[in-house]
Amino acid sequence: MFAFKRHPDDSALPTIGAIAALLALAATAAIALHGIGEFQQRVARITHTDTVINHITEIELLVGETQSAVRGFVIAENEGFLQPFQRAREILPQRFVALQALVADNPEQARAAVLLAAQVAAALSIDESLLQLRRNDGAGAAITLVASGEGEALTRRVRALADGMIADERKLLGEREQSAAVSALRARTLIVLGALVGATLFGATFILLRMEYRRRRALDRALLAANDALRQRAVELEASNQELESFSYSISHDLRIPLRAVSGYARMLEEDYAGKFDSEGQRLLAVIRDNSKRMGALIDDLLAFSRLGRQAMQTEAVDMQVLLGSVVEQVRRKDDYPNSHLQIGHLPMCHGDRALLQQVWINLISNALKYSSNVPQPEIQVSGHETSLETIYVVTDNGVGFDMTYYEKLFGVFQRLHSADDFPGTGVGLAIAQRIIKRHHGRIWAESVVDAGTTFFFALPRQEAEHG
Amino acid sequence: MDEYQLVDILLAEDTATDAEMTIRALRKRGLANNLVWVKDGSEALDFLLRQGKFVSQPTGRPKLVLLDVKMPKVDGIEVLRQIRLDEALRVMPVVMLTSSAEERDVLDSYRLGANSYIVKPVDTLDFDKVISDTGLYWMLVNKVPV
Repeated sequence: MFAFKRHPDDSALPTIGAIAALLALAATAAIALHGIGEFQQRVARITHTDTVINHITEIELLVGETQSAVRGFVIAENEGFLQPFQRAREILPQRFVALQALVADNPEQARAAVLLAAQVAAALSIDESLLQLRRNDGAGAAITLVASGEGEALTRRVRALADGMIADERKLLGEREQSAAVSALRARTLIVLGALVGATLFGATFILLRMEYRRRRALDRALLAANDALRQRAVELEASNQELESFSYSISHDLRIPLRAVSGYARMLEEDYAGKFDSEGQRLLAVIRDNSKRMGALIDDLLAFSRLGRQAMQTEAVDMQVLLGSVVEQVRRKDDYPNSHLQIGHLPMCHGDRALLQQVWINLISNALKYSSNVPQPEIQVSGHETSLETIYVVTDNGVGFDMTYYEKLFGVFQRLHSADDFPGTGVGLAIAQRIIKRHHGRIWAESVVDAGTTFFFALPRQEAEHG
Repeated sequence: MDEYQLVDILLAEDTATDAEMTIRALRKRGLANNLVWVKDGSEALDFLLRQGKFVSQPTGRPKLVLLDVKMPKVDGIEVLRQIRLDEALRVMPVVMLTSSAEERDVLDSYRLGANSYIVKPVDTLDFDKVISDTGLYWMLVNKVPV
């Protein structure tokens, strides 16, 4: 009615989706972190470039100041004017050391810095010479040297070098900025993409989970409905069982009354008007009585069969040897079949309902006696043996047997393989035996050859006995 | 007017054919001379408790009551219960007659103090024998408190 199919792929999808979404977000976070690192490097690079430019600019300024100071001294011979010159001579070496360190990673700039230092040193030495000349030879000589333009040329070269270095530094920064911009753009794109992918995957996972949840809910509802249907079915079954029970009660009770009247009044006729019936009249009356008797037996057997279903089982260890002994005695007492020879072998113990199992023995032994009664020397053999799972009992007779073609009918209610004229009976005995064995979770079967005999087997499970 | 005292057997049976066969079987043994037949449980109670149409009956009780279990209005089990509740009737022999050996009915009858529980055989010869044996036993063999 309901197909409870498993969808292993479907149920794994949400997990896969969630993991993929988490991976996408983790990648996005990594890219963002990397971008922040790059930004920090960029800031550091800009600062570095600024520092380098500052150093070069300062050096340039110091050189200019020195030249101005020395020229002032040449004109005014005021020692006070020389103060910046002294200071520059102290500071410049430090600045060059610092500059060398700053541009150490860039061979070209490092070479330019060395060149700049040389030019600055040359410019300073010109200033030094100018100073000596002024002090020793007076203003005229010094002015002549200034006028030669040698110092001026050096200063210009210093300026040119410094400006070249600054331009190079700026150009480098520009290139780096450009590549940083490219990678920043890439990072931004990746972050946006990663976020989009993550969000999509989360969305898809959510939808899948929702679908799964709905599917489960639908299944749960279907299960509940199925349970309700089953419960309803159980109630109906219970009701129909009760109906059957009252039906069998009324069969046993209400059908008997008219039956008893038929037979009873036939007898009254026979008793009170015996003289007025001829032998045919007597025979007809006897047929009425016989048939009501037979119908009574049918009702009794049917009732017994229907009772089997509702009787509670009382299981215990049963000594089958003793049980069969009492059954044989009981059956023998009727002495219907005095010629029959009954041979009973070893019968293992079993576990079951003693009264019900006794009924099985009664039915099987009576059957064996009945259906072997027409052979000259009826022989019935009973034996038992155990397998690892079952205890099996066997009843064999050498009677009329039956055609195995009709085996299916053998255990049916009111089913008979022989006519009631040949062998009396209602056809309930084996049905009862089978019902009892089934209630013991056992098996019952038969093998037969026409005119050679029949063997009945019944097997009871051994586990039941072990479980006690 | 002395009818009541003469009654040996009260037969409560709703099925006329069963009643006729029962009476016939008892008559064969000479046990049906003082028999009263009532057709349901309430009539049986009226007779035993001297009420309704039996209100004018003098005191006394039958030697044996044959009670069909399944009867209209008041069933045999209920009649038995009422009998056992009555001080005077408590010790009176009551034999339950029924068409089926329904375990529930057997149990109820014995719990309420039935003296016998008999399934009426379908076979006529058996029926005659069971009824006449029952009558003989309870009327002649059995000793009841006076």
